Amino acid sequence: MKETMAMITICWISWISIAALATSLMLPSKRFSQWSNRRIMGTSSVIATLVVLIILFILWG
Amino acid sequence: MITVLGFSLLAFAGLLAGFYMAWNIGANDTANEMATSVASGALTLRQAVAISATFNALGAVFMGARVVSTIGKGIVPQVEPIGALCAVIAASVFVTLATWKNMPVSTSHSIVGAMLGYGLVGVGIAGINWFVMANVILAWVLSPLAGIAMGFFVFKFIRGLVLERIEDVSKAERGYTPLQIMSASYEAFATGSNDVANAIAPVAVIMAGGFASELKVPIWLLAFGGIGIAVGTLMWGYKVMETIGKRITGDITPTRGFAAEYSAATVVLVCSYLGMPVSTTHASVGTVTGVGFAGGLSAVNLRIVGRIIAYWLLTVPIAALFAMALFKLYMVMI
Repeated sequence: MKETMAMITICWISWISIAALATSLMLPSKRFSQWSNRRIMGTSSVIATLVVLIILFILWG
Repeated sequence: MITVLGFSLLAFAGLLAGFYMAWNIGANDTANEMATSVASGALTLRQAVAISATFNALGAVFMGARVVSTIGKGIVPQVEPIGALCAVIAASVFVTLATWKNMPVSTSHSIVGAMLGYGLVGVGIAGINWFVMANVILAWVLSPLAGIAMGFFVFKFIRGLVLERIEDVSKAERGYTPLQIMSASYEAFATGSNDVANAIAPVAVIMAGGFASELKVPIWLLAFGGIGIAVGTLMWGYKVMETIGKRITGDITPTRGFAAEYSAATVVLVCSYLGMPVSTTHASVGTVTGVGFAGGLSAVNLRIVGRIIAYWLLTVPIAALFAMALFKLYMVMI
């Protein structure tokens, strides 16, 4: 179980690093403002987290 | 034998104590990871509670079953059911006092301290695994220092990559809001999986009638712990959230909050991988302090940091004293 949690954490950190880098690179673009609605982004980020955790759990659970 | 709702009196007392410990984890530990998200405005308190309750419960149910290794981290290898009960009550009382004073403390360290107290009275010095105690002392130093360094450099990196390169800073902060929510959700999942055992393990020991190398934990018991954590966050979570989110360093923004949360998760992972003892609470406080230091020494309230460190140092001795007193009381009563 400890190894499973470590694998999930490694995948998680990799995925959030890519997401952070992509966000940082997209920030200067004009399109970013069009879809940066707080409520939609907040809800979709929670759903994305759930989906990623479920996938990781299926892979290593 | 007296039974309550189908449980023996000792098992029922264990369930109540376990729920109380879970409540404390929610009020103190869970509040740690949601603090920067609430302070930055990425989440309202109600949203933070809903998200942390969901992810804590998921972490507890799916990953919380590795109980044996976490019960006081094995500081007393042979635990009697009554000793486990005294320890969980003593640890809970200490965490409640710390939360009442708005101080973030490690629930894992408080249960280690309480088990130590029970062990000293119940089995003697020879029955204690002092290596575990040495690890706890090492974690006091290692976790916050690693957290400060990581938080400092990650925020410096984000500032150089993003904040100094675009004109509209509020746009960058808006962009980092979902990342912060994702980090906080993941931290809640990790807390549910790691810390629910602090509340449930003693109950499992009591129900099994003593320590066993293979303890089976029913899903309902893990869910029970998950619910306790959610109730604790809902009722008292705001107290520790205010200390970490507003009093260590003012003006937590989504970029700062993300840097702190990301760094805390990374520090815990890397230290665990290297076999170094680490506390999530101490790492989180360290990363928030590190992010604060990136804005200059004056950006950090060193008085609050000093008070937090004092509580960390007091965790083990005070929890141990509470457990000793409880176990002595039990010995006198029987």
